[in-house]
Amino acid sequence: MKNWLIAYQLNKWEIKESMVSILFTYLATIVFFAFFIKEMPSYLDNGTILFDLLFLLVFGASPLFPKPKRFETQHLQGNFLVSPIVLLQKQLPIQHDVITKGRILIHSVYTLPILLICLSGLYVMTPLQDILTIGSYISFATMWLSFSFYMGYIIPRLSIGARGFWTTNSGFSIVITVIVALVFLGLSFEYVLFENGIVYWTIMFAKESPLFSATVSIMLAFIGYRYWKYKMLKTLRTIMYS
Amino acid sequence: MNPILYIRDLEKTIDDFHLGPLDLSIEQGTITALVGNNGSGKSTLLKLIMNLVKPDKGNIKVHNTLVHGDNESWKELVAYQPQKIIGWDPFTGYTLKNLIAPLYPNWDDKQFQKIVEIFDIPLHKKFGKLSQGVQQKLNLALTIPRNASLLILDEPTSYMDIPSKKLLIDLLVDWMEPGNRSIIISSHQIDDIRKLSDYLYVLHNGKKIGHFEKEELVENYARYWLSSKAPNNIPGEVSREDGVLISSNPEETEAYLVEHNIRWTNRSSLEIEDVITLLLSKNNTIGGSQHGSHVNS
Repeated sequence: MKNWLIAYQLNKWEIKESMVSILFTYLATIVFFAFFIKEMPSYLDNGTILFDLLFLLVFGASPLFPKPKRFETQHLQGNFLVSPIVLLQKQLPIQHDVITKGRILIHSVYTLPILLICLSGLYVMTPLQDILTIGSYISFATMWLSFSFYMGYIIPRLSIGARGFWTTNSGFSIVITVIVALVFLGLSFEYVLFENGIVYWTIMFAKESPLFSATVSIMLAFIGYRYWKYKMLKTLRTIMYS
Repeated sequence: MNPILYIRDLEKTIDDFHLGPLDLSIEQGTITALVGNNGSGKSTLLKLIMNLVKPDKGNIKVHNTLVHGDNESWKELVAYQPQKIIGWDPFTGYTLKNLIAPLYPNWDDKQFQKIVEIFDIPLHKKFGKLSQGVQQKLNLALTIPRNASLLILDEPTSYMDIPSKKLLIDLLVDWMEPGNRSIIISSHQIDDIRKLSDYLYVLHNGKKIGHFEKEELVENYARYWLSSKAPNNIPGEVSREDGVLISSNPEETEAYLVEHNIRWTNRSSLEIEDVITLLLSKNNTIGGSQHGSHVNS
């Protein structure tokens, strides 16, 4: 807990300087959720891949929405990708554990409050309240918030630093294209095999087994947190900050 | 007494550049200038010391703690001013001070205010909006008052005006007064080296040329204006041009000249920049280990 507090003290300046950008990210998330609220009735009747794809994007990659250039993870030299703040902190007497917690904290500031608010709105403003009890909906929300941890933490992981071809602009474009294509293919197969999309099935899981679904999701979030933290600490020890 | 900094058998390869093997010990109360040609590995060495780059071989210890180990307590014992400052742009001087000062137990706020006043640094402006010279001054104002036992400065005066350079030298001399601190300064500015340093650690294309005590190094070079013809390869001879011979071992050279009845009309010592030029010259034949003023490191 002490290191979380230190991480907050050290990163509150970044939060203060990024306030406009954070609000912009919140606004972008609200726009996406406005779409989800509008389209939810038709999605529940006839699922669409686009709805699933955007849902995955908002929970998995919303922190990729633009940040102030001076805080954004960027190329500092050729194929070296890092957040300038990490480089600043690495040169100061700050424990590696605190640096990683700081990155996770910043990621959470960009995502957690707005996702919680928007998930509440999604329940109140859509037919989901007719399908799910509050308890089941909490399970549904837990599943997607957990997803935003074990998938979304790739963003703070990248901010710690990465090298290699895939971190160059060309490499990154290839990786993103392949990921989007694979997700699209996966969702298409899911529709062919199970007739509905991933959001629909998480609603069903939450309805039928809320406790089990929430428990598994929390476990996945915990494993994801441990995994990405291990990767961040390893990177801080081994990568060349030069 | 344990050295503040201890480096043994250090090696690092980055692409086609190889640094090392390097050995170095920094004792309390000393200022060591890191000298070398462009691309000699000075900044890489400093980054290795700061654990920003991991070595391929060898050890680095600060106050007997391995910098590449799990114990990170050594970090507050070192204050590092990098050549290129990254990550400071969005913050004002006030914010940076509030960020940095609490991390160092010996932070001296009075000294910080003094440096800010001396250099007339506008603390309310964002770092990215300052000129390179003022950025460098603010960086120093946020580095020196950390009062860490080892101060590492990478090209601290490259963008500074002449009066500011003089002020900085005075500041650093004052900073060394307690006697238990050390400075490693990487610089191409001959005034920094001449006025500040006690020792020179010379690198050339990643290789160690030597670790020298500055005064001894200068004393061990001499220039002779020969009045009569002399054979090649006189003992100690480093270079010769138009009858002017430079020796890195005046004692041996003079003994040889006297023995062979070769006269010289004048003898003078070399300036430190001449000695450094000789040390870094590609064709020089002298190595640090051959030199009388070589420091055991």
